[in-house]
Amino acid sequence: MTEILQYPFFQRALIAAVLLGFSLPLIGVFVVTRRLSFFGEAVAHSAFTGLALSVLLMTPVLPTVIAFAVLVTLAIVFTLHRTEIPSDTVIGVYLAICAGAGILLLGILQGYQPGLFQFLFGDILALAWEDVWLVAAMCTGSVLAVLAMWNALLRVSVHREMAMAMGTSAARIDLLFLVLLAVMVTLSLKLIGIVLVTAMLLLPAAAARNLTRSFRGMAIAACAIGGISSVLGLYASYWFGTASGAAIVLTAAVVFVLSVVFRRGG
Amino acid sequence: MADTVLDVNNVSVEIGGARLIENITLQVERGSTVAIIGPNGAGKTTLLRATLGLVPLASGSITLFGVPIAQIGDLRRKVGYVPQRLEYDRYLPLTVKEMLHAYVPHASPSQIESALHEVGVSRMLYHPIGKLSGGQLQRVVIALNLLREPEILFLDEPATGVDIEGESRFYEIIEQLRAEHHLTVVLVSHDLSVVTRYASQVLCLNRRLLCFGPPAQALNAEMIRLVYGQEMTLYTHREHQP
Repeated sequence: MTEILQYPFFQRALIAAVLLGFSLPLIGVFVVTRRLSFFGEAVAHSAFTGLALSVLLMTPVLPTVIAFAVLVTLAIVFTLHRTEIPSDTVIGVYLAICAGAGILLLGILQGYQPGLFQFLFGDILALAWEDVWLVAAMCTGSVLAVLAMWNALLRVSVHREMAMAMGTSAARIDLLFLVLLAVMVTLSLKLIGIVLVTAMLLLPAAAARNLTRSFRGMAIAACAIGGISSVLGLYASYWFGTASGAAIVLTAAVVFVLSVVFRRGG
Repeated sequence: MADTVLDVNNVSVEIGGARLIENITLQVERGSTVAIIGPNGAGKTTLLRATLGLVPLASGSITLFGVPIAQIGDLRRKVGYVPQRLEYDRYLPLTVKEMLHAYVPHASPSQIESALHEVGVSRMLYHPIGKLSGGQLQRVVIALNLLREPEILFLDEPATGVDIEGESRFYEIIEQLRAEHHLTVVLVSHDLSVVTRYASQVLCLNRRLLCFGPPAQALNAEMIRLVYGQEMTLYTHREHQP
């Protein structure tokens, strides 16, 4: 079990997996509570378009993809603010627009684009130390941001108008949280891939929700499930010779299934 | 001279091109209880939301504590609000303590205990809010408001979904708190017995202002028929004459 730890590629993967496994579920707790899972999916898919744009415009990949994801987020927030259309419909509309634009742009680009697939599906075992530092910085930043917004996010989750009547700027909190979510999802894509990002956002938080009786307990349990699933999944991928991202996702999925079976209060 | 806390001047609200309330004018004096009554769709909740600055005005103006509602800023700490029902996910594992802490982070444990005791739910601190009955949860929301020490409390049909006995007790608590904490209360209700018993002023609304004044003067049989339709009549108990 320890010999694999001698390899720097595994050390880097383990550090990144634990950091992401801990911090993505903390954001995920509010994604689940505020029913924003579809939003995370839409932002992840907007990366297709952002990536195609960066190739077409010959701009740096990561900044372009992040900028496009933030732009899509702002467009979603603006549309929600300006209309009475339900949020899932608005998010679906922008998901369709992004998918259409992405396919169109990819059609314009000639030939196979290997960078595109590497970006979207990531590989945690291929991370360089620079990537690990980036993961460490973004995880620290996101955890601090969520903790700073904790009470306001809870107030808006419990009753948006009651929070607003008492002085909370719900629109500002929504915007900050969605931009944070968009940046975290997009940054994580290149490192761990589209499947793992959404899974790490949702599975630990959903499992923790089934097992706990307080919100603090839910957050702590989600982070623990995320971190432990990441370590176990990474080792499982080594033992069984499978894709690491998929192994991490399936480990978290096993915890989720167990949480459904052993759910408190039925 | 009367101390006006809330001044609503010729206010109209439009949403999606439909005019929901039209040319409403009223003044609420400090320490009074104003009840807003009217049939479904009369614009009661819209008027309440407008006074809280939650919907844009098509015309007119609203000032709270002498400041235009759009510029009220820090004065919102003096505003309390009890919505009809919380819109949270009932299966969310959020305890009463956590909810109170989210809204009033600086409240001490003894203040929290005292506020919950005042509204009769002192043993609920560690209960998930999803496990509380409608009445218990509304009392917790009142406690939350008390912890913020508001000067004016808005309630939007706060006893919806609460049984008759619980409803009566609920309004007794509101009245007691109003007197003890020197609150001004603005509440939406469809229950005329509540209005005649607790309100110092009643506002009859059916998109337009139909009446505004003390219940004994404003709520005559003709006005009730006008507000609620021909089939409604007011019967008064000899011990509860308006």
